[in-house]
Amino acid sequence: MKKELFTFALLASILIFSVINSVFISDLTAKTGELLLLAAEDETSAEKLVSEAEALWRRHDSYLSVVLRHSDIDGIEDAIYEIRRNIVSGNMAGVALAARMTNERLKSVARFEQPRIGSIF
Amino acid sequence: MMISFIRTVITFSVLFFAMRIMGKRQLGELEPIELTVAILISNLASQPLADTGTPLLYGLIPVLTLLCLQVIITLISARSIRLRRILGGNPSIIIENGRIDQNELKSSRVSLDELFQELRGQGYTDVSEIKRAVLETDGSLSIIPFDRYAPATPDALGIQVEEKKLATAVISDGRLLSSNLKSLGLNEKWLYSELRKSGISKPKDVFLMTVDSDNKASVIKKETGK
Repeated sequence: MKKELFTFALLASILIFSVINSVFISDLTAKTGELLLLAAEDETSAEKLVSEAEALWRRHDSYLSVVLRHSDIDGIEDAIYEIRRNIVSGNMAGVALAARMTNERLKSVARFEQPRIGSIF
Repeated sequence: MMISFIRTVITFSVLFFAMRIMGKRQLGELEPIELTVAILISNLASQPLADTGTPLLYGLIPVLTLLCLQVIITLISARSIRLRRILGGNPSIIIENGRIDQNELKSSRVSLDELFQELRGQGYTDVSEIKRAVLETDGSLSIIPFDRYAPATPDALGIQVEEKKLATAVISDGRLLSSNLKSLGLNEKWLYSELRKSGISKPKDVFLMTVDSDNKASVIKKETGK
């Protein structure tokens, strides 16, 4: 009976962990995306906001490496770097475009973790 | 993560359904559920190994999910006859009293050639020798011959035979198997005295030592390498 109980507990744990992970990824991507979009709107504090977004993302680097495809993580880091590059060169139109693209990329990562018909099949 | 979980449940269900539809003869030695899990696990486990960009969890979550599903389904089917029939199917009686049930043979999708191949494999050449042949849910064929064609047993011949003593290994390749020794109700003192009788001082010099239910020991000494 111990084996069966363990199995039920394991299955329930996987399910609970999956739900928590899905909520966490949605939350993290939303917060990061929000900061990047704010950076695109505010030229004076753009660099600070991008740094905050990057720090937020990197703070969970180890966890993200466990639950996300490494190519997705690298892609988002490259996209943030692209925003920073536009800020340094004073190209605010480029910042806005890159921020929107990064936000879409973050949304796509979050969507992949949501139980939707598209992501399941 | 959740997608991996849901995908595993869906794939498992579809593959399992496919196994059931395929019929018993395709299965070989495994039950449909065992074959389904075996097929899926072998592929799932190898994917993160080959691609280091994929988190290991993407392989572990489906494998653990499959494991849990199998244990849970096996547990439920062990308690419910109806579910067991749904999941594993019913055994099919292919031959009854020396006659082949053609409808059952057809519905099980077993050809005559395959049936005779199986019969020959089990030492029967004539259907009339068989009282009952059952195609089991794992695809194997169980054959029960008429008593007159069955292999003679000491009981059928009225011969008294002495029951075979079961031997348990207590030393294997120089290693003392304490739990086996204990299960026989013996101790190391007894073991060493038995070894001394064979001219051996320590278990390390023994290749194999077995003890039967009458505590009769059999010792094979380790050969010294050339």
